[in-house]
Amino acid sequence: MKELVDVLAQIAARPEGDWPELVAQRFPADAKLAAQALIWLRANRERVDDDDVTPELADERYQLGVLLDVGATASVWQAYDAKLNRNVAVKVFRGERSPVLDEILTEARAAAEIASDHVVRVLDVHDQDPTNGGAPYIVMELVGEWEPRKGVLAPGGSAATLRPRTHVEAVRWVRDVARGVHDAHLRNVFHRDLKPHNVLITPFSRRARIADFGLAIREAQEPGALEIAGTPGYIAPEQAAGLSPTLDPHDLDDRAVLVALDVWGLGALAFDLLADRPPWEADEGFEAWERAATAQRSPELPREVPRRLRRILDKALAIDPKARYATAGELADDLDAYLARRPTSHDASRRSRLALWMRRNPQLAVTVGLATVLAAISIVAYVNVVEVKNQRNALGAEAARARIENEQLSKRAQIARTNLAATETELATKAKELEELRTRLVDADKEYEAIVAAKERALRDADAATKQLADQLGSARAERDEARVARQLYEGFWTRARKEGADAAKDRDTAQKDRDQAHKERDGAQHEREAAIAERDAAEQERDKALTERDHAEAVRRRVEADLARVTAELAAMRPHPLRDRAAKTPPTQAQTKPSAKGSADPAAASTLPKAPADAATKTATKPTESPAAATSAPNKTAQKQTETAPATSPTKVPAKATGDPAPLTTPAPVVMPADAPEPTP
Amino acid sequence: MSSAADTQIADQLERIIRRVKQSMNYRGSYSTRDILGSLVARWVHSGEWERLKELPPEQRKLGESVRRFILDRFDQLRRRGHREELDRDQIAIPDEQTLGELVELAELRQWVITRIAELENDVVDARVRIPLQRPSHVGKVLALYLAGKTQREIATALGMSLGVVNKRIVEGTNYLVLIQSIEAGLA
Repeated sequence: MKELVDVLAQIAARPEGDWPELVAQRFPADAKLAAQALIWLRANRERVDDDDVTPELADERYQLGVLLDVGATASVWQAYDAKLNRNVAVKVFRGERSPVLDEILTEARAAAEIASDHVVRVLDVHDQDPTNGGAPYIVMELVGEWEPRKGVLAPGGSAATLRPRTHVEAVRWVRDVARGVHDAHLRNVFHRDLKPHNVLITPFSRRARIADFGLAIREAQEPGALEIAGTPGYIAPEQAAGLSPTLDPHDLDDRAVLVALDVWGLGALAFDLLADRPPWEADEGFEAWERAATAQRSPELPREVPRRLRRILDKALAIDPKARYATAGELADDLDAYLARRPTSHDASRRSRLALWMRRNPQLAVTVGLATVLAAISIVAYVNVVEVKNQRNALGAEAARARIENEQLSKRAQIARTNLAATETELATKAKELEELRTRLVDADKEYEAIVAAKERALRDADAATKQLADQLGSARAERDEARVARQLYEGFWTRARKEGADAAKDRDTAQKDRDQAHKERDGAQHEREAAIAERDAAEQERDKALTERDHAEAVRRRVEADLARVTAELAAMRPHPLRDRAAKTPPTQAQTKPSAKGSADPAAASTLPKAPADAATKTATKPTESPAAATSAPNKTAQKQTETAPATSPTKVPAKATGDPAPLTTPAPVVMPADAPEPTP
Repeated sequence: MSSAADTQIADQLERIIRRVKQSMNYRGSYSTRDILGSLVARWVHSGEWERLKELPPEQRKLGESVRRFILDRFDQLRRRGHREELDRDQIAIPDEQTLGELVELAELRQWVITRIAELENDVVDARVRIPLQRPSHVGKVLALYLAGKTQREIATALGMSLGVVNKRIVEGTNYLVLIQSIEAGLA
């Protein structure tokens, strides 16, 4: 295997015309291998011509040395300028892949136009037609530095290979590039392809410079279709969507569009250096372009990026071109401020500015802080001393006042003690009086309770009498009915019945007299009650008098009042009822005649009544039983006619006239037939 | 073999070499044409090209299909992004011949990508008689080269010297040219 490769290398070193013969000699028996070897040699020759073989330049002034890098359209060589005895970089464009000469000239002129420490200077350009003599090339300043110890010139590299060591270094590079871009804008040159590959870094001092103005524009182009130019991973959204080729760098509005493109490019460069990836990262260039063309939000920076720096880069990477920095110089200023810990355009608050000042001047900040603290402590101490002094004076005065007040209080205490002794003596006297009052009050209570008990007994008796009267009334009604029957049965004995009616009238008169007597007794009882009430009033007056004598008897007075209230309520309940009181005043002689006539239906009640009324009742009850014989012996139609009409009128009229109190006495009236009742008129 | 035949074979070989190198061009910066080329590559991926290839050449209407695909794609982008700038009327669609070249390049690029992936897995085409040293290395270098990295970046990324990177790229390109020539019947 190795031998075959060596053989091909030997043949490749020979003139191309000898290749078929040499191949045929080396591989006589294998035609296929020979054909493949020839194709390999041809293909190899094409590549050699393009890349790793040093191209011959038309001008012998520049002697190419080391190949620095190879790009899409050109290779970059380190060369020696024999005329000025200096090292330069030469960008040699490849034959068939070379851009047209106008583009090469445009690139060279764009870079040469700019005078900036941050842009690689163009020194010379060879724009002869490649078909006439060699390849076109651009001679540029070599971005390199002498190695201090070895004395060797070391070339730099792009920011894509020499990555920043810290985020501060990345910011510094972007700031330098922004300065260079701003200088280019001042000369109406717009780069349009800012990315780490186009930023060269010096090997030792690690300073950044812009290179490759291949896509830069200086003049408006011919009108045509939308133009897309840039590297997909770093392209601005509006550029990815296509921009008009007629954008004029000298027109104010068009300049704003072109400046915004480069500001985005600076943000994209910073993004790559900080995040280690392009803003529109994708596996394929076309996908990145798609993402850029349809982006709705700015690419998100890593969280590690400081907040202040993030705000700066977010503004540079705004999707809306108008929201970005107006110039690359403003972005450079903000990055400069960030590096120097000075307020950026985003640090508007006093607090953030103070914090930045403190970070910028730590020793001064600490000194001022300490001085402030010491001053504060001194002020506080002074204020405290003054306050303590004032408090001491105030306390002295207060102590003197307290001494005087103490003496006065001692005197007052002595007087108070004397008064207290007198008061205690008086209090003892009052206590004795109170005790006596309590005793009297107890006696009054007992008397009052006795009165109340008597009253209750009287009320109970009255109730019993009323009950008896009701019973008598029932008996009388029954008797009346019996009398009616007897009158019907014994119409003939009406005369005798009239006589008996006369007797009954007499009895009624007697009963009326008894009732009057009962009225009198009732009046007497009322007088007794009024006397009891008067006594109670007297007792109340005594009680009131006892209560007002001493405040300490308040509790006793309340209890008595409570008792009195209860008694009053009971008395109110016992207040006399007309029927009940009248019944109570009815003499037992008349009241108990009717029940006894009915017989021994209620022996218990009968036993409590006096004997005399019971006899009278017996008489009146026995009269109807004796009359049937007389009734049958003397019948009279006229009398019978009168007796038929008499019961209908006499029971209601007669008692009403007799008593003058119709309501309660209408019921007992039918008990007896009045003897002197007027005959009904025909 | 006559000189005319030799010339024809040489031209064909020259064309193959040029097309392979063109399809492997460093593609760091994009132009409008690159974007259109990528869209055509998408069109090839979509399978439409396979369908059209089965039709007779006069019925293929390649340009119309590609043009419709590109404009539809721009419409999709405009809808996704709500961007007024993506005006399909202002997009310059190449003519039929250019589209044909773009299709051919896209197809070739897809073929190259597949071969490079095989190399990364140490798979070498058995028809190739010229031996390839460390195929996986060659595959990795070519993959980065296709991704748009410069040789310096590839050297830094893979820890190689610039010369080795250049050598691997040359070997890989020769290998791809050789396979293309074999498939074209030249070897």
